[in-house]
Amino acid sequence: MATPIPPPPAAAAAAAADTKVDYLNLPCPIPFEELHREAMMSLKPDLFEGMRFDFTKMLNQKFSLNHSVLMGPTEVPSQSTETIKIPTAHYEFGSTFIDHPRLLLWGRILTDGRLNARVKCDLSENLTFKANAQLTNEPHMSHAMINFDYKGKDYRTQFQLGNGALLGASYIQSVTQHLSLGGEVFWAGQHRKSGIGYAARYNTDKSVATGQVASTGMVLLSYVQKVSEKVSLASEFMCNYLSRDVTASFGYDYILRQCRLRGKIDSNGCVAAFLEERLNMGLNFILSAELDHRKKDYKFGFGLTVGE
Amino acid sequence: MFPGMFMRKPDKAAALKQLKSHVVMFQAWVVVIQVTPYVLHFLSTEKEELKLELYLLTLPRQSKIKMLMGEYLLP
Repeated sequence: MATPIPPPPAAAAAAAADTKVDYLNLPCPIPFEELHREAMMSLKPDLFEGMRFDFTKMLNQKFSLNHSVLMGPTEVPSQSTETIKIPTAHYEFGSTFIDHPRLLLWGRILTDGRLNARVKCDLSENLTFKANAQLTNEPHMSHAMINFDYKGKDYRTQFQLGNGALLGASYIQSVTQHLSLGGEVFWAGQHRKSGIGYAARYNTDKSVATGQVASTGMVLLSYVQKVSEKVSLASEFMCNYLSRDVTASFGYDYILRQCRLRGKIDSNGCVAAFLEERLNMGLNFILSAELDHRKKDYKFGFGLTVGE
Repeated sequence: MFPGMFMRKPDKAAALKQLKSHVVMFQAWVVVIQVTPYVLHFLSTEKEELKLELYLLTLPRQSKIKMLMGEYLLP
């Protein structure tokens, strides 16, 4: 019986070439401000207390109107450890204009006079202008911020300007197919404070690990693992080594065909869950719960969302 | 009551000096990040060349003779 012929050496060389990383042709990383977005999606859902009703009406393909009603208690900041709440009701009117992908205009105004506005505009193929503002009737409480984002071949850089003489710059670049490194520097002119931060992000198809540290004492680590097509598990470690505050959070994100369930538990004794269920096309039912056992502050909310 | 309200602002000269040092550190970090892919590329190329030399060393003697005579082409 004849023995099988061993494969030619060229096959091994070709196989080795397939796994070789091209360090001069790396992908473009995600923006620096969205470094922890997978963890944020799982661990920080839009929790609320009371009754919420959102109605969105598409006038055409680009322009839509939004009406929101929120009725429930609102926490009042107090000096004591006890939580003080007063019943409130808000109506919010909003409009959105999206000329995809170049222009986004977003505005929301509340009955108490507060206004939120956002602008995103592509000035060129690689340069993007962003602005956001929060205007109030109270003196010295309005804020505005503008950003210039530049997207390169395998890097992103950003410059920020804000009221109160706020200046910031950030840079993030891919160094391998899965690893990107970044940094930021910021200056608060009103307080004459400056800081510097470093960040790293490692992502594969199934997991994302991020780390960030800043001279303000902030340390933030997160890890998200996609267990299956429907389930993701997330964890986050946040601490400030100057003030000795430490928080660890663990959460899950369960996506089913008709609903999405997210929940978390953290080391401060806070347990939260958020459920979004699609009852029909354009009709969503929302349940929100947050139990802070340390503060003995328990929040429950339910809501309806009508429209896309 | 509000410790932050009574915190004195740092001296302007000292604050600007600190800002300058932070900017210098940031620029240095950006340079390090930009250089890293080129260093990794150089290291991977060096490894590839070493692999090629090892490949030549492992060839049988007959193949080497044929290669020198021009009858055998490298893949």
